[in-house]
Order: sequence, then structure tokens, then C-alpha cells
Amino acid sequence: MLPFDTPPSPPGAKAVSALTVSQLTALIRELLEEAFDDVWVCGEISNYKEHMSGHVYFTLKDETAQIRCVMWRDAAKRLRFRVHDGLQVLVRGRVSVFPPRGDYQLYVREMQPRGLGPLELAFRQLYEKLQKLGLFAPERKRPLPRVPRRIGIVTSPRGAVIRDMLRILGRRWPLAEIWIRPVTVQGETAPAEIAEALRWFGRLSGVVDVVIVARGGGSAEDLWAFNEECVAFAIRACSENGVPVISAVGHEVDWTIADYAADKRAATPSEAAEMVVPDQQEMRQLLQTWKRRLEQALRSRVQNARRHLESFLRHPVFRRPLQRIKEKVQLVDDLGSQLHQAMQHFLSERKQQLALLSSRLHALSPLQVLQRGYSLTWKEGEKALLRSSDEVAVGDCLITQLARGCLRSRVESVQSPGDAHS
Amino acid sequence: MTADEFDQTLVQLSFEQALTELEKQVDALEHGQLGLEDALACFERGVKLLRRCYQLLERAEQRVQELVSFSERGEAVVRPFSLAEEEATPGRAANSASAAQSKPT
Repeated sequence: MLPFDTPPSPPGAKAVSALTVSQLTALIRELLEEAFDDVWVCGEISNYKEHMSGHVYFTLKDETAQIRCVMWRDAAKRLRFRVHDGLQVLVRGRVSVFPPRGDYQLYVREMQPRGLGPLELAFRQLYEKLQKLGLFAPERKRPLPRVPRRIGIVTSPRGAVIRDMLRILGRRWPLAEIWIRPVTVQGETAPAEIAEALRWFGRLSGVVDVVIVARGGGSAEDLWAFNEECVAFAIRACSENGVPVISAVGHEVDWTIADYAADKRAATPSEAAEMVVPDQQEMRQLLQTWKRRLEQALRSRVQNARRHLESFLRHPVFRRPLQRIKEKVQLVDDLGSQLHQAMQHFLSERKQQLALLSSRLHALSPLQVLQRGYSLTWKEGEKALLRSSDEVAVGDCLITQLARGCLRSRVESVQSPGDAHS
Repeated sequence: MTADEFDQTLVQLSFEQALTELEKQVDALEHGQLGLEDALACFERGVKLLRRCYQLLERAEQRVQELVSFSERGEAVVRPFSLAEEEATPGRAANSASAAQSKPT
């Protein structure tokens, strides 16, 4: 029997339960993950392999040690430079265990080429720290005043930087008063001086509208004061007090912690001077434009009013005030003549009717027959008209009615109705 | 605001305030539904603001001061600032800015 096959169990002691390999590995893993959740490691790359999957495997080593590293595809894709064996790098990641092999390894999520030096590392560490504290949060950026009345400048009182800035400010916007707080911009005391100057301007909220913290170009070491924590905090404090800060350190390519902390970063001090004030020539043009727009707007407003008025005047009521009345008169006239015509018509119709009746009556009158030369004859003393000679005898007295007047005559002879007329 | 009241506040306006106010008048006149009388008043204010802006521009002369310290009352103490090459001249008279308290250096 092998001595270590079972744990020794002294008599009387409780039975000790053994861990499985998986359990032990899990415990180690937990320990490692907790202790090395986020570490920066520098070393040299070896055994660098890019897998088909896009994941990257390598070993990071120095003179006396090495550690296996994995970089997952997503992180590897973000690399801006080519990685190869022998390259000195700075990686960031967490340590964990790969249980199937029992290896601990570094899971890398970021990689930087080395040769950056300790300053860069310090910069990055401070950057991370301040970012976590929210110092660079975009929502904390205070907008610059459009037209500052008083501008604070924190910089060296000597050299080209302040001269250039004053020249540009004087040319672009001489209305602004400049308050300079001279400081040393490099060396041991620089960070504290800069920070204090910024705090001073922070106390002048309402008096000073904006502050520029500036320094000309130089080496990374020269610009270092602007990578100090106290300067970054002083910048934020000044801004929170109501005085926005523009950082203008070095050249275009130099980014400092102050640049990130400031409300606005200018690539150079000259650019800061350009951006902090409007240009008076442009402002004059703007004023001219507004002047024209004011005049134009008023003119069109007046024209509008005039058109409105004219549209009223064009209304018939104003143009021909008697028209309505005339129209009424005409209406009455029309009705009058209609009435007249109707009356005329009525009358003439009646007249015609009357004439017709009268002529019919006329035609039937016996007098009409007499008129044509006929006559009526009857025996005197009798009523009946004579129609035949048989009815009279010689010697009878006859009355003859003519159209005009009567005759009384005596019969001399009688011819029979059958005889021819003599 | 009457025209007189407006004239009184006008002289106290900073350039930016005058500019912002001018912008408002232009906007109101261009897009507002102003009565004719209001439009005229608006125009008049705009012209006055323009004049104020031009006045400030014409009067402008860059003033550069150095922030020296703070007084007991918490007011900034400033003096005229000269560029490095002029600093050789001694016996510079101390001055104060309008918003600051005078204090000899």
C-alpha cells in the first residue's frame, strides 16, 4: 500500500475530505482572478501565433520568467501595430487559469508597444484613474462664452507664447480685457503654481469669463507639469466654479492630462487665442447682416401692412360706396317696369277680347244687313215681316224699314212669286 | 419695457448681452407675428443695440493686467502687465482695473 493513497487520519480526528483536482483548480482560479483582475505587464513577445479563429497566443517573457498570454479576437482586432517575436510591449489584462492544462495565463485585452517609457505608463495610469473619477466626462464640459469680457491666462510671462496670444487677442477682439497670472510652466514647482493660478481664477467667476492655461512646445518631460493630477483637479475646480478652461499645451501632437480635463483643448496656445474670442471683422460683418435683416424685416412688415390696407380699400364697399344703393334702385326700377308691362299686357288683352266680341255682335245685328241696302217690310198694323208677294193685296199700306229711316207706301200691283222679275 | 427704460439698460449691456438681445430682435422681427407698432419698436431696439455693439467695438483697446493677489475683501488685485522685455524698466506705477481694488505693489 502506498503511503499517500489516503490522507492520514490520526485516531480520534475527524475524517478530512479531499479536494478534487477541479475543485482545487477552481479555487486557484478564483484567487488569481481576484488578485490580478486588471494588471499592466511589460515584457518581450515570443512564440507569437495568430490562430485561424482570430485569437492570438503568445508568451511574454523577461530575463528570468515567462507567462502564457491569450488575446481574444475582439481585442486583437483593435491592435493598430504589427506584433512579432522580440517586440517589447506593455499589455493589460487579467490572470486566470486554463483548467484543462492546469496553466495560468494572462488574458490580454490591450497592448501597447513599449519604448514609451515610464512617463507614458504614468500618464496612462493617471489617465485611467481620472477617467474613472469622471474628470473627463463630456457632460461636465462647460461651454465657452461666445464673447468673453475678461480672459484669464495662466502661463509663463516670458517668451513667444504670451506675446503671440496677446497679439492674436488684440487683433481679433480688443474688447476683451486680459488678466494674466504668471507661472513657471516647467520644473518642480510648476504643477503647484499652475494649480493655484487656476484656483484663483476659479474664485473670479463672474469677473473672468474664461481661462486659458498655456505652454509652448517642448519634450514630454518639459510638458510634464500638465500631466499632474493636481493640475487636472484644479482645472475641473475652476470650471465647476463657472469659469471654463481651455488647455493649450505644446503642439498639435501633444496630448496632456490637462487637455483631457479642460473644457476645451486647443492644439496650440495661438489656437486657444483664436478660439476664445470672435474675430472683430467677422463680427462687423455679422452686425451688418443683422442690420440688413432688421431693415428688410421691418420693410416687409410695413409692406405687409400696406398690402393689407390696400386689400381693404380695393373692396367694392370702399371703391364704389353708392353701388349697393344704385343696385337697389335698379331693382325697384326693374320691378316697376315689369309691373307696368304686365298691366299694359293685361289691358291690351282685354281690349282685343272686347273688340272681338263687339265685331261678333256687330255681325249679327240686322241693322248691318240694312246697311248693305236690304230693307224690312211689313204690313201696316202687323208685326210679321213680309216674305212673299202673296201676303199683300193691291191697296195695302206697307211700312219699309231702311238702314236709315222708314218709308210708308201703298201697293199698286202684285206680281205672283212665280213670275219673273220685271 | 418703455423706450426710456430700454435706453437705460442699453448702456449697461456687455457686448455679448447686446449681441444676444440683437439676435432676439432680428428673430422676432423676422418670424414673430408682431403688430405694426411692436414691429417698429422692435426695429428701433435693434438699431439701438447695433449702435451699442459698434460703439463697443470702436472704443475697444486691449487692456492687459496681471492678477497679483486678492484683497482682504476677496477682490482681485491687478496691475498693468508688460511683456518680458519691458520688465527691465523699474518704477512701474501700480494701477487697478475697474472691477478690481487698487493696491500698490
